[in-house]
Amino acid sequence: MGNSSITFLKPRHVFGFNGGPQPSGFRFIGTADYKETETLKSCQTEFRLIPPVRLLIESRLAIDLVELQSAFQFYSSLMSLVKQYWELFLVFFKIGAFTFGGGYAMIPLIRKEVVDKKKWLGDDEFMDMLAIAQSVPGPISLNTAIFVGNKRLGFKGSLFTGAGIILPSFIVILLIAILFTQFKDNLVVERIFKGIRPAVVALIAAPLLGLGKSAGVKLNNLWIPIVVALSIWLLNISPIYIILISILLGILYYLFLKLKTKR
Amino acid sequence: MYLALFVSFLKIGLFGFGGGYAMLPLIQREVVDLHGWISVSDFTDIVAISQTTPGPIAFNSATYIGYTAVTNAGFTTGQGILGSAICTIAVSIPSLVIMTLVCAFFFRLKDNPWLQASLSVLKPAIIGLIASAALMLMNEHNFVDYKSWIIFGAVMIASIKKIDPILLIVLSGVAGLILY
Repeated sequence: MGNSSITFLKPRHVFGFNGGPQPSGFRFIGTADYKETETLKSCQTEFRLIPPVRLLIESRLAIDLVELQSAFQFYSSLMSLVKQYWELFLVFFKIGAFTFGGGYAMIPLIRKEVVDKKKWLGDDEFMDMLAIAQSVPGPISLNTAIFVGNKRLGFKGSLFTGAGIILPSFIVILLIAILFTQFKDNLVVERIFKGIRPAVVALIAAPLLGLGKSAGVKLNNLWIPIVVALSIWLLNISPIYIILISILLGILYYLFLKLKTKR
Repeated sequence: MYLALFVSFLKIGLFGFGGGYAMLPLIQREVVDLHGWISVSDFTDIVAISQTTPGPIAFNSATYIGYTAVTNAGFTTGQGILGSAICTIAVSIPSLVIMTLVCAFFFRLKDNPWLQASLSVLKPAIIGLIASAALMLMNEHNFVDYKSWIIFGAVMIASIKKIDPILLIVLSGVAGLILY
C-alpha cells in the first residue's frame, strides 16, 4: 500500500490534491486513502511516537476535511454547471426579449451573441444550422435555440435555451391577453384596431416579393405559390395537406430526375 | 378543451414550415375555422400584437389563443394562464423532438439530396401559404370600408420601402383613431 503510507507535515500530499486550499492549524497526517481503516492501523504500527488516541483524532479531522473539500469541489462544479445553463438561458432570453417581428429578425442577433460574443458556434456551423432550422418545422428562432443548447450541453441545455427564447414573449403576450380581453370592447381600442387590421394584412403581403426571390421562385415555378394560395383561400384545403403534397411532389420530381439521368 | 388545444398546437408546430407568416393559415384554420375558439378579427388583432411585441408569431399566437380560448369558454384567469402554457409547450414540442434528432443523427442534413428534394417544392409552396394568409385576412371583418383599403395601400408601399413595421402599426392605429 505504497499510496496510503503516512507522511507527516507534508501538506502537498494532503488529500491527494495538489494546490488545494490548505487549512492552517492542522498537522496533516495523511494521504487520500485515509478512509480505509487499514491505513489507520498502519499509522499506529508505523508511528508509535504519537499517542494512538491523538492520531485517531487527527486522522478523523483529516477525513472530515477530505469530505469537506470534496463537498466543496462538488458544490463548485455544480455551481459552474448551473452557471453554464444559466448563461444559455440568459442569452436566449435576451434574444427573445429584444427582437420584434419574429424569426428572420432574430437571426442577426442570434449570430452576434452565439458566434461573435460567446463563440459557441463557428461561422460555417452557424450557416449550416440556419439551413437546417429553416427546413424543419417549427419556429426558426426556437429551432436555432434548441440546436445551440443541444450543442453546448446536450438535451438539458436545449431545454434551457428553448425556455429562454419562449419566456419573454410568453410573459408579454399573457399580460396583453389578460389586459386586452378587458379593454377589447372599449370603443377607442376598437377604433385603433380598425386602423391596424388592414395594416397587418399589408405587412404580411409586402415581404412576399423578397421572400419569393430568396425561396427560388422563378417564372417556371410561379404556379406553385399561386396554386397553393388559391387552393387554401378559395377551396379551403388544409395547409397540412398542402405541405405533405409539396414534400411528396418534391421527392417524386427528384426520383424522376434521377431515373432520367440514369438512362 | 385543454386536450383539444394541445393537439391543435402540436399540429401547428409539426406542420409549421417556413416560420411565422407561413404558419398563419394553419393557425387560422385550426383555431378560427375548425374550433371557433376566437373570431377572425380577434385573430387579426393577435397578429397585430405579435408584430409589435417581441418573439415569434407562433408562440405569441399560441400564448394568446390559449388564454382567450379558455377564458372565452367561461373559465377563470388562472385556467386561462394554464391554457396558454399548454399551447405554448405544445407548439414547441415538435421543434424540440425534431431538432434533438437532427443534433443526434444528421448534422450533415443540409447536403442531404432527399431533404433538398422535399424542399424544392415546399419552399415555393410556403410563399403561397403566406400569400393565402394575407388573402384570408382580406375579409369584411378587417376591411370595413374604403378607408381600410387606403390604409392597406399606404402601409404596403411604406413596407416595401422598408419602413419599420412597428412604426407603421402605430401610425395606422392613430389613423384608425382619427378616421373612425
